[in-house]
Amino acid sequence: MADLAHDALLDPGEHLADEHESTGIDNRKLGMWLFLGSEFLFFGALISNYLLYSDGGVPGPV
Amino acid sequence: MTATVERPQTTIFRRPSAKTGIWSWVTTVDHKRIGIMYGYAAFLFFILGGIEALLLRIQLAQANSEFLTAGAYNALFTMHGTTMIFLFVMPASAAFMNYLLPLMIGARDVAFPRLNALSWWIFLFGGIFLYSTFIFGTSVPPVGAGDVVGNLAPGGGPGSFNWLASSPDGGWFCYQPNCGPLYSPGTAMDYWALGVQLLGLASLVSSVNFLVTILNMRAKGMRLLRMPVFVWMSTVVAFLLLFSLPIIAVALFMVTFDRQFGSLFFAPVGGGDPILWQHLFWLFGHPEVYILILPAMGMVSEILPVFSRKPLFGYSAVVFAGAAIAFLGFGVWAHHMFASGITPVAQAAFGLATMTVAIPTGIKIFNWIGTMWMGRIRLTTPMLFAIGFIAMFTIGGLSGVTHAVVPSDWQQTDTYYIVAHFHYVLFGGAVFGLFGGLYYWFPKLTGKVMNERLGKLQFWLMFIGFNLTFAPMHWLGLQGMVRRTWKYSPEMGLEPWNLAVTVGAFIIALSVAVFMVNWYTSRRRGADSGLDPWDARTIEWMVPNPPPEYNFAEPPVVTRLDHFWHLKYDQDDEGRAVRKPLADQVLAQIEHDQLNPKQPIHLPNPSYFPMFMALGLPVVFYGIIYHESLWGKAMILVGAIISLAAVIGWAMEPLEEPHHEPEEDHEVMEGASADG
Repeated sequence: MADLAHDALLDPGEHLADEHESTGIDNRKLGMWLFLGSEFLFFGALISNYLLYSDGGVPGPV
Repeated sequence: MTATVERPQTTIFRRPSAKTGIWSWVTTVDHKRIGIMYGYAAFLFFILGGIEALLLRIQLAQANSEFLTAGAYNALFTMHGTTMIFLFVMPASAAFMNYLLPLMIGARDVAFPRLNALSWWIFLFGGIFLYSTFIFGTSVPPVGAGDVVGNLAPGGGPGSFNWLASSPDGGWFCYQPNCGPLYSPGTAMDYWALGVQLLGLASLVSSVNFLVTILNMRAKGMRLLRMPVFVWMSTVVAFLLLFSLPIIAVALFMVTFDRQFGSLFFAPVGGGDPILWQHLFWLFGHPEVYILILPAMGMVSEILPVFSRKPLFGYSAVVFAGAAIAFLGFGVWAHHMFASGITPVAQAAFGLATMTVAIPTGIKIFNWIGTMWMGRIRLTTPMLFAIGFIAMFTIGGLSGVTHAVVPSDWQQTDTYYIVAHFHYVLFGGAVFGLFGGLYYWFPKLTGKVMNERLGKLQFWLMFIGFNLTFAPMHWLGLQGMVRRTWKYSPEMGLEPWNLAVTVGAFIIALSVAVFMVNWYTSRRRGADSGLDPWDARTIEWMVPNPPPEYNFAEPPVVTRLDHFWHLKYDQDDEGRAVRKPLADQVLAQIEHDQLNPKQPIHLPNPSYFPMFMALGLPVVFYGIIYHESLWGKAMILVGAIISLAAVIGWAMEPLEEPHHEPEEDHEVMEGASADG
């Protein structure tokens, strides 16, 4: 976090109190990666349904 | 993240600023307020689901009862299951997570406050959407069923409450092709499929939010293995939600397409496979049962150490056992399908995998008992519920192992033995845990303590009522009483125990009434709790009760597990806890410091847009159900415009309202205010 260094210059004491235990990854990036992990299952389910049905069944409604 | 960067302020998208009144609740992004709203909504649905259960039990109290029609019975058991799972236990757990997670890890809010509000509003509108089926839904008998089903047809045969039959009647599991367009025409199951879709979306959003919060926003020193067990179990649950909800989302889309747009995913007539639905549903559905129970396990793991005055026995074992349950939970789904004709190899594999779940579960139970062992136990109401949880959950777990034995399961499938099992784990487990949690954290919410006398009365009523309701279901099931069937004949000899079960159900209802009286009176006239009413161990008790909006004026620096306890207690030479002489001064100092922040604290601003974005979704979904008519198409368009406009407003919203404080006070709380 770039701002921490900035804040630390203003007030070193605040710097300590503000430090977080974190992964070091930006919140937005981490949230998006987690969501993408979820999407793997979403498209995984869709694709496996396709593979299951691709060689059988009747043509769908047109 | 550049939290201190000034953004140009626009007045078009001025953020709401109400602090009190209805708009302050509609626009709030405060995790505590959202948690409270989640809690009340979940409790309301608990009451509705409970009324549905009581109607079912009145019907079953006598053989050949004419109280309900078959159609109403089917609708009631479907809505009872759906309500209790998706509209009560899940949002009640979400309520606790919302309220407690940031407090327990020393954060000022969740990572994305507006997303948090979004998941709450999607949940609420999804629940209302699902329940609107009682007004708008239709459930008509399949073509040609006529005389064959007789009483099954809504409107046919004696019995009352037939208007209820207009709601979903295919079970919370929605088995195909029964729930397909051929056998369940009418719109009721569409309401079900799309309503559950909305509720799933709400949970998916909050799972991402909670995970980022837990992973990224812990106070200094709050390492992963210093987190309270409730936080750990919430982490595990969030991962379970993240990976199981997309599967049910796909399956529900397929059902909706089958029903609305003529696809044949699950219709055998077109080469579709009904068993595929069962695989997809239970691939979500089994992790789901751990989603329901793990938060309660976390709460019990918080309550037991406090009232045993001992640290949790085997903290890391409890944590890893929770994670192990979650991993195994993805590999056991076909044990719901032993009677569906899957191959013997699959049956053996899934039976064995299911039995292994007993190992981490056993580790947890052992550790909870180990926590109480040699402890100085205080039998307060939360502790009673926690102990009740352990005992009832163990019974339910043991009957669960009997389902893992395939030949035994064939005897039990679709009987009341199964009903007994899952109520022992979900009511005796999850609901007891939730009530324990409510009593335990009530002071956190209100600054008052709940009445112990009424609390204990409620516990014993619920404990007795619960066992009278669900224990006889074991032997009713073993005697051959079939579930999901609205009548049984008097010759079967099932009447005496069924009557007992119904009496038990009403005792549970009485206990819930006692709880509501206790809640109401304790909120008004309860004894003051002070900072630390239970002599607690975890840092959520280091903020005043109820917590100020900013939670922590000074986020604590955590030095070890059970940080708060170690501020108050030392060990003597024999390892006994000795209260530090200055403990009371320390508590008073903490309370004073947390109430008087040294500098102004900027909190995330309220926002209208989460509510409006969520509002558009049920409008679209109503439109999908009625898409064949012009106004259905119009609703899709209108709903999409509402949501899209809200997304744009959300993105354009200024970071915060302009204010007149000097530049150096711009210490915006990290992460929380910048986005969400």
